[in-house]
Amino acid sequence: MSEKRVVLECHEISKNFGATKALINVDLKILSGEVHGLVGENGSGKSTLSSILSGVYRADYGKMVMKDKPYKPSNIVEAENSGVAMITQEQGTVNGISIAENLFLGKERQFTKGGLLNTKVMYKKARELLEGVNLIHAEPALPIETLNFEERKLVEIARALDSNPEILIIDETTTALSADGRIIVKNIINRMRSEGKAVLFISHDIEELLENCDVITVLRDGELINTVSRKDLNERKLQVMMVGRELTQDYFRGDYEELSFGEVALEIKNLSSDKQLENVNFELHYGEILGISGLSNSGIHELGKTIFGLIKPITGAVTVKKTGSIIKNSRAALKNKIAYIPKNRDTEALFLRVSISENVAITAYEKLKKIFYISKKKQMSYAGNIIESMQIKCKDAKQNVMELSGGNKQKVVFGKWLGNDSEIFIMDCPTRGIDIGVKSAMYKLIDQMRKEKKAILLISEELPELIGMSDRILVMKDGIIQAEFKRKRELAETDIIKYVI
Amino acid sequence: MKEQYRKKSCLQLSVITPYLGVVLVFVLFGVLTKGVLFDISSLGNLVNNGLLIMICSVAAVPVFARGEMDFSLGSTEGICVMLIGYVVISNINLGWLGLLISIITGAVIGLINGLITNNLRIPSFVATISVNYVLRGVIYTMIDYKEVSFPTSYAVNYNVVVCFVVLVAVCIITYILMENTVMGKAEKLNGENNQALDFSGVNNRRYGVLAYVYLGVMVGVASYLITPRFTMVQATIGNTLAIDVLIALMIGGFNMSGGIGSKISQPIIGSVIIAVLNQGYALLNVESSIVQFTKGILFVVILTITSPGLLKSFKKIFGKQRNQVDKTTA
Repeated sequence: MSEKRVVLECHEISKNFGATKALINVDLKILSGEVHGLVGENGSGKSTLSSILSGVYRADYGKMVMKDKPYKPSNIVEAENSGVAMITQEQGTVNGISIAENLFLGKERQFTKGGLLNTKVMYKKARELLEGVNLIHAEPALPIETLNFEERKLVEIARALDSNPEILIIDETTTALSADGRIIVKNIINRMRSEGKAVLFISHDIEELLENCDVITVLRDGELINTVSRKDLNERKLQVMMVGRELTQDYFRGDYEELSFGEVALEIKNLSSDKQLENVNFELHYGEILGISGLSNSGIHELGKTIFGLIKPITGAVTVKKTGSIIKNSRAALKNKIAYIPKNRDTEALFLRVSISENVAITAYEKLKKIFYISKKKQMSYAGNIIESMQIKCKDAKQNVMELSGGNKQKVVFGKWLGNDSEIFIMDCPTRGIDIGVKSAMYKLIDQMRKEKKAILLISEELPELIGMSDRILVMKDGIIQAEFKRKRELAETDIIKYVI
Repeated sequence: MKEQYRKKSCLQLSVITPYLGVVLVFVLFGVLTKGVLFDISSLGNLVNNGLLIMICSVAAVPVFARGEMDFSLGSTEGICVMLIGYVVISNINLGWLGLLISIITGAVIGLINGLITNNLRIPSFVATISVNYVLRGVIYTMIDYKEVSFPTSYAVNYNVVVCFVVLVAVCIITYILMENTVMGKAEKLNGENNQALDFSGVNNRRYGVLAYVYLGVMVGVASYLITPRFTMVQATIGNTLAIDVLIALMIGGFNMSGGIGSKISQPIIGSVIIAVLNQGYALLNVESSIVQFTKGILFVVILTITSPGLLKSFKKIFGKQRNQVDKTTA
C-alpha cells in the first residue's frame, strides 16, 4: 500500500445555530486509504460536521484545506467537483423521475447532443453504475418509486461513486439498510480504501464502526473528544467516550422469571391483507411485550399498520377484548386507547414545522376540548406536563419539533401517546436512528410501561432488541408467522435467524 | 449574541411587511385622490367594495390551510343571488327565507366540493373548477327559465352597518375556528403532513368536507348581504370572485400550500389592499385600460414588498456585509 497522505484537514471548525453551539473548534485530519469513523450521540455535531464538509452548511469560523488548497464549498455540487461526496441519512432521491435521471441529476449534460438527451447512452451508463452497487435487476428507465427504500439508498451510493470522490461521506446510511445492503456498503468501503481514497463513516452502530474503520473520532456536545486508532479501542471504551460516563450493565430489561400476563388486550384473528399478510393469528396481553421479528419486506410493518386500522384487511379482524370493538380505522383505534408509533418518525408521526405542543395535543383533543373549544393555556400546560415527564430537551413547548434531536423527537412521539392514557402500544422500530444514551432510556421506559400493565407490540428488525425486551417473539416471513419463542436467557440470535431468512 | 439579535430583527420585519402593502395603497391613493379616500362616504363604499371578497377570503382560510382551494365561489354566489331573487320577485313576504335558502344552497355546494375532493380523492383545483362549470351552466338555465330584475324598493334592504358587523363576526368566528377547535387544527396540520394526521387517528376526511361546507355557508351569507345592490342578475355574476379571493390571500402573504402558518390576518390584509385599490380607482375615475394596466404593476410591487423572497435577499446582502465586517475585525 502506498504511503498515506492528508487529503482533507479541518482547523478549528465552529458552527452556531442561533444560540446553540453545534461545533466548537473541531480539528480533523482525513488520510487517504483510510476509513475514518465519526461517532457521537444525537446532537453531538456529527451531521453538522459532515454537512460542512459536503457543502450543505458553511462554517462560522475555521478553515479547511484539501490537498494543500483552501477548501470552501458553497454547495453540494462544488463539494462534489472538489472530490467530496456524501450519502445522507434521509432519503436523497427525487420522486417522480426515473432511476437514471436520479443518478445523473444535474449531470445530464454529458449525455446531451444539440440540446437533446441521448437516453440510450444514459441508460447504458446507469446500468453500469447500478451493477457497481449490486442493483442488477433495476431498470434505469423505470421511475424511482419502483425501488424500495433500501434500493433507493443504493442508487444514491451509485450516484456518489459516479463523481469519483476522493472522500466519500456515509452519514448513518446503514440504518436504512438490511444485512445484504450493509455488505454492499462494506465492499464499497473496502474498495475505496484499497484505491487509496478516504471514507468518512458516520454511524450509531458501534459494532459496525469497529468492524469497518481504521481511525475513529468521537464528538460530544460539539467538541472533539478524541481521535483514536481502531486497534486501541473496544466497544466499551468507545461507549464511554461517546456518552461521557459509564453505562449501566442492564441495557435491556434484566428479568427472566416466568411471568403471568394480564388479560387479553388484542385479539388478531385470521388477518390477511392485500399484499403482505397471510392468516395471522395471535393474542396480545396486558403487561406483555410481544416482539415481532422479520425482514423489512416480511410483512411486519404492514402488520402494525393493519392493527391500527390504516390498512384494510381482506379477511379477519382486530378486536379489542375490553370493549369488544373491531378496529376498522385509525379513529376507532384511537378511541380504543391504541397507540401507534410508526417506523418513519419524521414523515408518519410528526409535524416537523409545528410546535411540540401541537404535536402532542393531536391525540388528546377529546380530553382537552370543552364542548368544542380548546384553550391554548390548557393545551400548553398539557404539553408542559408531557415534556417534563418524558424529559424532552427543548426550549419550551412552543419550539418546533424539527429543531429537536432524533431521540427527543421520538420522546415527543411516545409522549403524545402516553399523555392520552393509551393502553395498547404498537411500536414499529421505536429505536431506529437513536443513539445509545437515549436508546437505553427508551428501553427503560418501555419496560416501565410493561410494568404498568400496558400491552406492547414491539415490531423490530433488530434481533438483540427483541431478545432483550420481549416476553414472547413471533417470527414472520412472507406474511406468515413461522415460529414463536418464549423469553429465556439462553435464546440466541441464531435460533431465530433461521426462521427469518 | 449578534446572530440572535439579527434573527430577532428579521423576524419582526417579516411580521411587518404585509402591513407595508396596506400603508402603500392608503398613502398612494390618499395622495392621488387628495384625501377624498378618507371621507366617511368613501369609507362606507370601502366596506361595500371589500365585503364580499373579505368574507369569502377569510372563510376560505380552513380550505386553503389544508393546501386545497375553491374555484366555485363565484358561481356559488351567482346561484345564491338568483334564488334570493326568485324569492323577492315572487313577493313572498318572508325576509329570512332568502337568507335561509342562500345558506342552505352554499352548504350543499360546499358539501359536494368537499365530498369530491376528500372522498373521491380528486385534487381540489380540478374538482372545484369542474363544479364551477356545472354551476355556471345551472345559472344560464335559470336565467333562460326566468330572468331576475329586482324591484327598486329592494335596494333599501342594504345596510352598511349590518354588513360591517357581519364581517367582523365572520372574522372572529373563523379566528376561533382556526385557533381553538379540532377542526382548525386538523386543517392546518393537514397542510403540514396529512399522513401523520391519519396516523394519529384524526378523522381527516370529515374535517376536509367541513372546511368546504363552512366556506359555502359563508358565501351564502355574503351573497344575501350584497343582493340588494343588484338591479338585475347577469349570467356572468361573480366570475372573478374566486380569482379575487386567491389574490387577496396571496397579497396578504398566505402560503398556498397551507399549513401551520395560515392565519386569518393574511386574507384581511389582502382584501383591505384590494378594496382600497378598487375604491381609489373608482374615485380617480380613470379609464379602464389604465386601471388594468396599473393594477397589474401594483400587484407585482405589493407582492414584492410583502413576500418573504425580498426579505431573504435583503438578509443575504446585509448578512454578507456583516460577515465581511466580522472578518476584518477578527
